[in-house]
Amino acid sequence: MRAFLLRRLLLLVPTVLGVTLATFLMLQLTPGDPVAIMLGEFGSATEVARLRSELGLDRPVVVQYVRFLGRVVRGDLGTSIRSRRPVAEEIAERLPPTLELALAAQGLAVGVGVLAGVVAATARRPALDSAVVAVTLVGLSMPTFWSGLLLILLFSLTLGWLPITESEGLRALVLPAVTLAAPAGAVLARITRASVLEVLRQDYVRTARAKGLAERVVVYRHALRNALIPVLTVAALQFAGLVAGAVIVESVFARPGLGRLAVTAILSRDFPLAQGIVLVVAGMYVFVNAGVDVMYGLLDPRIRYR
Amino acid sequence: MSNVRATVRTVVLILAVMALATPTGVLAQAPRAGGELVLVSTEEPDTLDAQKTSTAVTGLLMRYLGDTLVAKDLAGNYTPALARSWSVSRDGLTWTFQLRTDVRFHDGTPFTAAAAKASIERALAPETKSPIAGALFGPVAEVQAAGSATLVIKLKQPFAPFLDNLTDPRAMIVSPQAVRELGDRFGRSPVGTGPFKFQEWRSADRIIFARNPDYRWGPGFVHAGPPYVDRIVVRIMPESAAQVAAFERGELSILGVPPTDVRRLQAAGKYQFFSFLRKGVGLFMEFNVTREPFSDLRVRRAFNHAIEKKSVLQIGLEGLGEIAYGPLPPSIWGYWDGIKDYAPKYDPARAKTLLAEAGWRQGAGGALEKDGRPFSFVLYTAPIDTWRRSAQIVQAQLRAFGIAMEIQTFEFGTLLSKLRAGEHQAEFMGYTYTSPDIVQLWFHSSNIGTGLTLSHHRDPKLDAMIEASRRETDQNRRLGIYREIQKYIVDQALWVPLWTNTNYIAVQPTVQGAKIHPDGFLVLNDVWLR
Amino acid sequence: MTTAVSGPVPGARAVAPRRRGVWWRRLRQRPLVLLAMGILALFLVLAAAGARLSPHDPTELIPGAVLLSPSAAHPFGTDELGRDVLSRVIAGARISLQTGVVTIGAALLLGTAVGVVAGYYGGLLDGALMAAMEVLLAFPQILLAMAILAMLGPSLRNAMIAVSLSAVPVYARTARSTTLTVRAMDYVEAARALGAGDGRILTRHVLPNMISPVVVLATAGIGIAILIAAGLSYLGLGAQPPTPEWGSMLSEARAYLRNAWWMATFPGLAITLVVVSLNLCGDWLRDLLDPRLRT
Repeated sequence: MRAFLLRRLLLLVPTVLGVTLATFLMLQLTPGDPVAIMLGEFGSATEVARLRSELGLDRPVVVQYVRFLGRVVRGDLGTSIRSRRPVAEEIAERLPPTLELALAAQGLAVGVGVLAGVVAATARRPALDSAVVAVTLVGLSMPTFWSGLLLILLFSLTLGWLPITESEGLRALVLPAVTLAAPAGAVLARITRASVLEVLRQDYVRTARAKGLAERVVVYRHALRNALIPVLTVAALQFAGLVAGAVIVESVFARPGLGRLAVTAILSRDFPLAQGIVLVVAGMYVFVNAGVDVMYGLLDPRIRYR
Repeated sequence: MSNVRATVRTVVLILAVMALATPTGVLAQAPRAGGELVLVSTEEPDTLDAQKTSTAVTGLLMRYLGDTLVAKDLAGNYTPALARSWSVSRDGLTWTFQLRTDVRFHDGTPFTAAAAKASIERALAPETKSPIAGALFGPVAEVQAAGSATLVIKLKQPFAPFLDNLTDPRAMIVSPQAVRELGDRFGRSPVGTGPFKFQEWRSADRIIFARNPDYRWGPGFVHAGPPYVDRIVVRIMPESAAQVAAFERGELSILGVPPTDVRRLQAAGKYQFFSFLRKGVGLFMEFNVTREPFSDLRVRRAFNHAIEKKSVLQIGLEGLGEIAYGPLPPSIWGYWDGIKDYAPKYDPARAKTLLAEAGWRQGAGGALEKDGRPFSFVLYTAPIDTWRRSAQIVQAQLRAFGIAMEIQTFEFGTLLSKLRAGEHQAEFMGYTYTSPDIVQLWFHSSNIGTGLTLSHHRDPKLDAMIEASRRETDQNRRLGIYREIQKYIVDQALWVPLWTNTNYIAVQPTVQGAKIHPDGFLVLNDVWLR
Repeated sequence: MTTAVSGPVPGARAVAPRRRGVWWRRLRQRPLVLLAMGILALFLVLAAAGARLSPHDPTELIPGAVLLSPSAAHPFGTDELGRDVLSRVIAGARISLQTGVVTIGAALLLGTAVGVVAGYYGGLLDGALMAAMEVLLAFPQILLAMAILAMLGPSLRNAMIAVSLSAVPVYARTARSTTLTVRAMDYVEAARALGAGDGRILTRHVLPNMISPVVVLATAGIGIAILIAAGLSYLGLGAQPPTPEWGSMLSEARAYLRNAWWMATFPGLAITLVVVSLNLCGDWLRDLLDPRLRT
């Protein structure tokens, strides 16, 4: 067990290095001179020089990368060009609402997705199965920037049940979370359905049925437990995708969050800020993945020795 | 230098950020204290340090957080504020202010002549890098505290906009002690003497001001004593559609209504409505005269004849405003009414002739060409709904002449730095300002590259006229100078002025006692909630 | 198990001619898939012949036709500037389909090349290439696309480049694993023993075996690419006005959500229809070509 954990954590090192390198290269690979882009073509010579040395662009690339790593380790992500505030501070302020939204969407997606998948897989009537499949197909295909607008139109503007602009509280979270959860929930429903169908074909389930156990017991006691392992893995992997997907949903619902900050950063050509956001979200993605692997290993001993 | 740089942002544009309401006069009830007033802003402030800000919204917020030495009353006349009275020497160089002695900053320290001196000197200090506030005081030679209640400001030369500039919210007096103690954090927890004091700023979400219970030194046009409402909450919401929806759900108390929703909200009959013509030109197309094809005056004139402004106003702004003709709107003192007839009229034939004179002729495919190159250019603009619509109408109108206009949108701050750098050919801009001294910011050659002279037009004759307007303290003669400036700028066709919008402010029926200030903001001291 | 070169290989050569009859029979049992194909065909026709079919120029400002609700003259109504929404939706079909096909086509070529080279030659090259791909996979796709846009600046072309690049690692990974599987097959060993060169083995054995997994991935991939590109345009990072891109049309429609429902409805429906159809076809192809491939 210790060996497994250690191996998995060691594996993190190259990935994290890779992610920091890729993020670092964002600035290096930008066509043209990023400093000139940030300052405008005729930024004064001293201004250009100051910003270059602030960004460390006047050093050899390897030195720049090492210094970049050193700063990142200390939690220093540089200074935003636009606001002149530390990037880490801006991100720290904007991350909580985004995480809140992603978590709420995750909960919804798992709850509704798994339930729908199980219902579809075990439905006696093919019509019910088809209906669930159809709904998941639409959920998967509808752009969140349209479904969000439709929800606003129906629940906020027409019925007046839910606020669209409050940035706090559970009620304010409902519509954005539903919007964000729809595609993720649809994916989970489809995976659950496939997984449950497959498990139901397995020998031990047949045995259980043959023993005359009630179908409900067969499904929920025996099949579901095994069927859900892959589902939960996918769900966990989706989480960072939800954080990234929040970019659009935050914009639709005018929520303060990391996504809106990212759009502002790009539109204002604020490279340090964009770089910081990319690094933080990608870093989260990597660590969540590793966490999922570890959990998986704990749940299913076979994987440890793979 | 960087003074002007920011005047830019402030001055520029700005959506009818916050709002106001009329007291409709039917207040039989006595005002009641308590409650929360929720306003909304499209933009997030860069900082709440009045002396370091370059965003317009900060200026508006400082109206509530701070007091200035002098104020303007609801009729637009100068009225005592932190200064009980003032006088100016005959040569116009020495200004003496008698200060109130009963005023305290939000941090409890007393307001004195020494504090006022420290505050003004901070605004002027080069290390403050004040984008706007520093420039407001003009050519200051020296600031003196003569005793605890007398402040003397000496100028190097007469400065006509001086008193007017002192009423600008960014000229507010900040607490020197708080500045010392808070350092860089002052901008996120400012301290002034105003009717409201800073409570909280949640980035991208809201800013909260709380009632200043000790406030007893308001100007004469508001009631004596602290404001009635407990708190002002300023929500930050970049999308106008979301603002309107929130207002209709009652989540906002007051709304600057976007043109698309004005008629619908008015028809609802539920809200108090108030409207006034924006103090500034809402939208104009400006040419960079250092770059082809707009270095040619004939091409610039041709554009002034080619663009049919009425459609731009009708579709871009839903007709809710006035056509603009020159650099000043009728809502700013100094506007010359004759400009309407003086400015070029819509005249496609004349436009074609001028373009032909400049060497641009229709090619085979209908496109205008000169030396085998088609007439195409890029218009830089900002992501503002009314600008985006207007740009597309202008684009379609110019296409009829065989001119290809591409639209590129940048976030406002980025847009300004690109324009200052002069990499553009033409751009969309707008401004809000309270005095005709705005022409100095837009047209004086000293502001090229650092300030708002985004046309990059260098013209000693225009510079001289502008300088004369600032030195001239006789208001009638000043008016004459401004008339000549307006004519000259139209002659040079540096802009195609498009429209000036009417600001519409909707107020929830529960909000009582709001007053509109002629400078285009809402006086909140007397507001109370039913 | 056969050892012959023509033997059935797991996940191999699905497009063999003799199975065409099977295709059609199965297709007839799936009316929804037929419908989806019909919808895609319709949009393809619109994309190809859009200019001739649409009643107006998509950027023309029709005088006096601002915000008209749907009518015989303007079946999808007009927008805030007096442009015909139907014509814009039709013009948008070309942009979106082109975006989907071009981005995924490019990603597929690049990704397959990387994956095949890595899988076939193995060793250090494999290690380096796949490490790079793994790192890119550590970024959620929309984030990666936004990072690339941050570097290139917002425009439709750059959004296409960004979406394309962000899809490369997926194809590289699939191509590599297929290559590894095929390379280990007995018949490939046999072919090599018979003196076939790398080029011949790649084109005759490796690439054909890649077709089915890649086709399945690409069909869904086009849908995702269309959604991401439209999302970027919605955020103002992609197509710029007056380009009739569906995402930017939805973005413009926000301010008119209740005054002019048609402005958001038709582009929204168009995207959803295209992506639903692509997903239906993708599911069907997956069942048909490779039932074990689940995403």
